[in-house]
Amino acid sequence: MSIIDEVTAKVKLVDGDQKEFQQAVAEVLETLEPTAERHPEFVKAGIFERIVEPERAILFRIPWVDDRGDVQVNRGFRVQFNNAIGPFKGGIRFHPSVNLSIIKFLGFEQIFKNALTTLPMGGGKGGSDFDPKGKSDGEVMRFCQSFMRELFRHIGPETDVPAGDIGVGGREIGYMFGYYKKIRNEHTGVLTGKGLEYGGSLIRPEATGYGTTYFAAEMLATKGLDFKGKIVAVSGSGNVAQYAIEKVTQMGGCVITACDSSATIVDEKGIDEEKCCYIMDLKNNRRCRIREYADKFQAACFEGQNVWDVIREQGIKVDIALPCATQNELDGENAAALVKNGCFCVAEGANMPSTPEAVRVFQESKILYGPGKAANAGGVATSGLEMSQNSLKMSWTRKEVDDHLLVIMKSIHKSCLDAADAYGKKGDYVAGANIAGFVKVAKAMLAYGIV
Amino acid sequence: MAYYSKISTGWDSLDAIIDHLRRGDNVVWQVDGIEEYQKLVSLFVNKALSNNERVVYMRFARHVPLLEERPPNLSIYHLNVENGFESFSAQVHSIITAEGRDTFYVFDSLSDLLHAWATDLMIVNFFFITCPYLFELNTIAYFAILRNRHSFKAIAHIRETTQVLIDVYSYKRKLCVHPIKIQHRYSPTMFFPHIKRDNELIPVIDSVEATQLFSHLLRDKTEIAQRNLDYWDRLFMRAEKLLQSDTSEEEKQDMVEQLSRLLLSRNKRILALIRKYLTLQDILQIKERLIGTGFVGGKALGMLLARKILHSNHSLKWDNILEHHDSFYIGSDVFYSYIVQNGWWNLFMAQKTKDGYFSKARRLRDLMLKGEFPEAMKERLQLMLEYFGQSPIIVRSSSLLEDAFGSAFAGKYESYFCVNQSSPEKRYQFFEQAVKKIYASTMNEDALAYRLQRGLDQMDEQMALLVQRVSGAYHKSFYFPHLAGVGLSHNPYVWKRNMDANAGMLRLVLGLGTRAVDRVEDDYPRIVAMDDPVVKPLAGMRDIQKYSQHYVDLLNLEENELQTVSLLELTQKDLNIRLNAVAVRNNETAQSRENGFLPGPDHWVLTFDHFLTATPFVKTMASMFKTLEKAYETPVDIEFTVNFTQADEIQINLLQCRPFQTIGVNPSVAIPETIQADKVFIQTEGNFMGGNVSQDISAIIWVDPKSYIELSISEKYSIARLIGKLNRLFAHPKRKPTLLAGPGRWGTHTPSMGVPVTFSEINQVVALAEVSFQDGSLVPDLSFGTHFFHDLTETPIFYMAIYPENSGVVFNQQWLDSLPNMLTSISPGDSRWDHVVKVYNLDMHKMILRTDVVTQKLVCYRQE
Repeated sequence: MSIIDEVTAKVKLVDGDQKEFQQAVAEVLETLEPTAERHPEFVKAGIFERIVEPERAILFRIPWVDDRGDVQVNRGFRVQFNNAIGPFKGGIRFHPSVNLSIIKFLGFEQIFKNALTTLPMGGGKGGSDFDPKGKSDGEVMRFCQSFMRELFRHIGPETDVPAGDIGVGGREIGYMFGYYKKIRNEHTGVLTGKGLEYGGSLIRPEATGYGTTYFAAEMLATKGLDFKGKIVAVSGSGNVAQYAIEKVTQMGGCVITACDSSATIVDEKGIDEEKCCYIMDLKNNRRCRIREYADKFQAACFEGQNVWDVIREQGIKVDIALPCATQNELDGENAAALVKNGCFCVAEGANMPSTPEAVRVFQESKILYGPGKAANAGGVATSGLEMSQNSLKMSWTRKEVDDHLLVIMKSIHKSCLDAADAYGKKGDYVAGANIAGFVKVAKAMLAYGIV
Repeated sequence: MAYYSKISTGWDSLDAIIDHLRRGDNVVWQVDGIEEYQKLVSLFVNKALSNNERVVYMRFARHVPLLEERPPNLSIYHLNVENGFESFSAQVHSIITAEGRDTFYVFDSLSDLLHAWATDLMIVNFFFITCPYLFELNTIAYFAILRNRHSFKAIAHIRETTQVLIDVYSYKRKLCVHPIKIQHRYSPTMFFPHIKRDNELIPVIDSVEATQLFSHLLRDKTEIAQRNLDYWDRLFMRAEKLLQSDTSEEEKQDMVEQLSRLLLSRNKRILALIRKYLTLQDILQIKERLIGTGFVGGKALGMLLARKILHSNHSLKWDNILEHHDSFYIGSDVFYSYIVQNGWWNLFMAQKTKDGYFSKARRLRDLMLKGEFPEAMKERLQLMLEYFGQSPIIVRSSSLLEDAFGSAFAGKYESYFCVNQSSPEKRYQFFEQAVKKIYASTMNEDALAYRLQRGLDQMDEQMALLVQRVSGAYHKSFYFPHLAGVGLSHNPYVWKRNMDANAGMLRLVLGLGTRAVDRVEDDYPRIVAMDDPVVKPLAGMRDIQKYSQHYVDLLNLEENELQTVSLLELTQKDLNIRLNAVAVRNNETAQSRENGFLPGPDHWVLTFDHFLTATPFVKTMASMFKTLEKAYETPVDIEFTVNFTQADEIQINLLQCRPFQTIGVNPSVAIPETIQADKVFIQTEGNFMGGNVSQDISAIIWVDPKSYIELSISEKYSIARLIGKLNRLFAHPKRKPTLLAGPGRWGTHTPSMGVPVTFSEINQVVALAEVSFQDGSLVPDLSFGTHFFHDLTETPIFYMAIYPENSGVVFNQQWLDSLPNMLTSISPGDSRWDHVVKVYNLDMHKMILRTDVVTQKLVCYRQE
């Protein structure tokens, strides 16, 4: 029995009621099998046993008074999972489904996501089973303040820097940061996702889309290629897709697709800067369907199909694919069709947009495939950039942030490539992304001795 | 049967004067009393029967029967006049069709129809459509009308239509017969009055005698002036007199009831309400604003009644709160007259048949857009338009089927705005076109299918119209009410524990209420739970912005049309629309793209929060709900607008009120008391959203909880995408009404909690069930639909939460598991998921989902 199986089994035993966490441990550790073989010192130092156990998990009471004057009590969590390479870092989620299992599951994954950005950020996650839906503004504020009344003693710019997540947006971050500032009497970068007025960073919405494009460009560069003149398929039409289209266009590529939940548009002439602005206005301000794009610019429109179905059925030739819509949007069949039509580079802007079968197709056909873990890490990286600006007491311009983002994406790309190479899987970004983040954390843990 | 072209009246002397009857003759006798007509009828029928002719007697009046059912060649049909013109005429039409050619007919006195219909116009219309048909079938038909009963105009029309019109009266105790019209026959003395001496009819040709005779006939002069009016108007003039007199209140209320049956409703429950709340004066005021005759229709009645109910409640000063109305009504008879007088009746009847139901409807609809109104009607309509001047008005359908108890005829007919900004001629044209469009909308396929489905296809249409001044204010070149919406006194969308369904809910919009009444894709009215008006089932500004109203419907006075303008555009126009009371600035989007803090355009989000908390609006509406619900003895739904006075006080315009509607088929059928236990698939109390439904379920998509939790995260996402595929390929709200059921929270972001679908992946189903599953990690605490709350209410999709472990709750998974899974045949490529996703076809099982919001019962069962 390998150490991986042993650890997985042990988690099942001791955390028997934590189904989500168990599943995450099993799925992550499975990919780390080669590191255990390569690094007996990791096994010896109990890295695997230690990494599945959080540094600490804080569970606390959050009493607050609702608008009717009744006392409500919710449960708060902060799981500080791993700070080997930097302060604990990870979002806070307010949602009735929140429990210890979910928070541990998310916190565990966060360790590797953060490590992969190559920035000094540890992993953690927090939240509460509080449901902000149906609560008045005043109730949300009182809840956030009560939440912070306990959390403040566990966090700090050098200790733990939470961010937003589901149910925690600009409003909630504002209330929590305001209260922290009040009771600590210090204005420090203790939370990320702040408003621009009080320490937030520019380029947050753009980061994932830009980052994915930079990552794809790096992959192309390994073959001596770039975006110039390439036909690019982008799926989705939300933030990620919009900024991916913008950046690809700026880099000389020609994006011909976009989609929303109801339809896909194919514009053979390419979605240029003006058309991209139209999509942004359509989706962000006017909140209309993508089919309106087809009417306005005389593009083809396919109702009820996503980009990858359309490409397969219409036999459209694309050079590069950037799936930026949703999980499992691209299946094995679609992947085969993409490859057959000459696609040689896929970079994932969304989380897990390709099914395991699709990933297999990409890997077997040896095309450039950048998994979301690495390719969309730009989003996670901006949290780090916000921390950096807070520490420096500086606010960077858009260009400065964008330049840093480019550097980070290049560095992520390089560490994936290097890790894959080191483990005899040259060019395999999936293996690289799985291993690179972990090895960095593991090596740091090794250095600290048994702590 | 011998064929004679000349037919006898049974009275030789009369035959001689008029040169016999001819086949095709419609014979109208104008008589003083029914006895005279009876004599003439028996002469005619006896003769006919002796000649072996076939005689049909149409019996419908209250007077003594003209004929007894004895001879073999005589059939008697008993007809019902109470259901109104359309059904009566249709009955006659179908009898004539069935009896075929060459039959002899005797009709009861047409004057008796006044008792039920109260209008000469509709009797003329009946005559106008029936005579030509009888003529065509080579029949002879006897009709009678009572002298001095009908308007001159009515008599003139009858004379014009019929072949034979003969006046019969007594002069100096002797019977006089005076042919007025005998088509295609002539003799020198034919049109003189004839006096009966012995059994002979002698012409009165002596001028002295003739003068005496005629002056005798004209003796009652006061009657003459009145007979320039339709019986309808005379009836109401009598009521007016009654009101002025010191007759007892009870007698006046009896008159209310009598008139209400003609003007307002035949529904017993509604009549009881009318008797309680409306006075004779109210009825006469309604009549004053009625154009034409007949019913004002359900929508108009609902509005009038609800206003009256509120005014009679003194807990609030409704006089100061309710905006006054000056609506006009176009009576339901106008619709029939339009059809009859444009010569489309036969087509209209043909449309009522099974074969013609849809095919003839198309032709009829096209014709109805291009018909002509009689000059007199045009004049009335023009006068009404002059009254409104350049104020925008709305023409609304007010069918009798709409808005009544137990019927669900919501929004199937259209309404049209007349912005009223051009020349009087153009305005009239536009208005007339709106009227025709609404009339034609009765022949829309949607409306017809709806009627057919509910067994209403043979019922009278009774399409009246309501013409209302558009409630609103001028905002530069735009015209619209500040706020508008619909309200339900029972909230069918309780999404939170402790929320009180009986407090009711509102759907609120800025601008015209069309956006709240109609469900618009991708745009959301503000949903207000009356007991907790500020809370929303949303978290954070992003969601609040997303699920809010982004477009405003308004009238553009410059362009003279109804327009939809984006909120962003509207808020930049510097109109006085009290934005701070109804909206908040969205700071979160403002910072997203711009560098630093450069001010861009303000992004306003309509939350109405300030308005809901700082004005007495919610309290007022709550009181309105309570008062109306108590009077109607059932939950109600209403339409309203809100404007502000100069003094900044709110003015509510109550546009419509009706009993709470049931969605689905056979709405009048309640949940059966007992359902065989093994036929029940789901049974639960409470924990559902979507109001009263009666919905066929012809398929179920079921995600098996046990198999689902075993899947990896990635596989769980694949299940979500597969549901989306089935939603697209298989489910359809009409063709394949589907129930989607599965474990935990639909639409969650955490796949282990439920299937992480997006709304567009489930938007074709009619019902969504979240089933708790104890064994796994799927939390029994369900989302109660809040992931999709706004989309569920707008689509609408029915939602239910099922806790099979609770006592009294049934969820028969065993039965489900026994059915064959169709997944592979629908989507062959996805057979590897057939242990997780099950698709069941229930066509054979006649599954139906029924709920009752009052008892909070939900049951889904097989009717096989």
